[in-house]
Amino acid sequence: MNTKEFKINIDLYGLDINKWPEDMREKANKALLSSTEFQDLIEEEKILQDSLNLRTFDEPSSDLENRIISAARKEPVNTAVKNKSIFELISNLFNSFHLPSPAFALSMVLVIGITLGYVANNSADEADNDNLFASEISFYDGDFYE
Amino acid sequence: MSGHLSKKSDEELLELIIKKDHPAFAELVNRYTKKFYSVSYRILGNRIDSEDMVQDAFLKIWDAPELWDKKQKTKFTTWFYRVLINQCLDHKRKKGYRNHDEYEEESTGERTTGKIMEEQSRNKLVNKYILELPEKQQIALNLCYYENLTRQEAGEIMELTSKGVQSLVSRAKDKLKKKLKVYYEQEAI
Repeated sequence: MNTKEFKINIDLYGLDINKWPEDMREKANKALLSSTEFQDLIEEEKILQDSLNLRTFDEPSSDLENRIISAARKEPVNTAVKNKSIFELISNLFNSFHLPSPAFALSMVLVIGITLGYVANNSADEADNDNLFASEISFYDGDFYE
Repeated sequence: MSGHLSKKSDEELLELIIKKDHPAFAELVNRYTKKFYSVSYRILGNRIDSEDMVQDAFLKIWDAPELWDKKQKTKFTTWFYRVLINQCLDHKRKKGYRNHDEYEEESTGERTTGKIMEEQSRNKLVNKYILELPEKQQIALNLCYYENLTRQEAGEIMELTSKGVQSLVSRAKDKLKKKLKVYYEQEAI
């Protein structure tokens, strides 16, 4: 038995050679006595198994089952719409018109431009109104009907 | 009611779930949540994500039980292992998972003393080494070693031959042995 076969048998039948199939036991024991290479294989496997056995994990929350069971009772949430940003929604809207890419880009620029223009214009109007109101007050010089 | 359901096979419960039988779903969840949580945890290495993955996989069954194709005569557990493992791997890729980062400090930091500390440190180290293995080797090792499945059963889940699984397990073990050897040699210095 060579080291490769020996290694495969360890994988398949475990570390205890006495539990290997009968026809292999004698060969394996002979091999084990013949060279330290085989003993090293057994030693390495022992270290690995000990290490694998040490591997633990965090227990799940005690209410995990109940959470799953009650989640199934709830109506499914339409996350497709819920999770989309405003840009995704706009782009989906444009996509539904099947515009070619340059036209789409141009349309997006137009929409953003119009929106910014509208917002800027509104705030300018508000500023004018404020100024007008301020000037009215500053020109008010007592009671006109006096 | 639940006593009656507990006698039913997984596949019989699935037939009921297709008819939107909620108690049947609850029975299946109670039967397998812990088992599949551990599978998920061994892939992801953290509790919150592992719980989410198990919950999502079960809700997938509730929302679309017809995904389990009874005509193919696949055992529920084989099919569900596949669903959950794929979901965990997708999640890992999407999140750009590097869940062994937390163990890096451990292997390079100060040596701990005492048997418990030493075991904890070795546990973290083994976790780190396993999570560094290629995905398929990790899965094969988890299924054969921690889930105690035969190479053939693991092969059905991974859609590989039992020889293919054996080869993956072998390679995984070789890599782990090499890393552990280096670690113990450094410890001895």
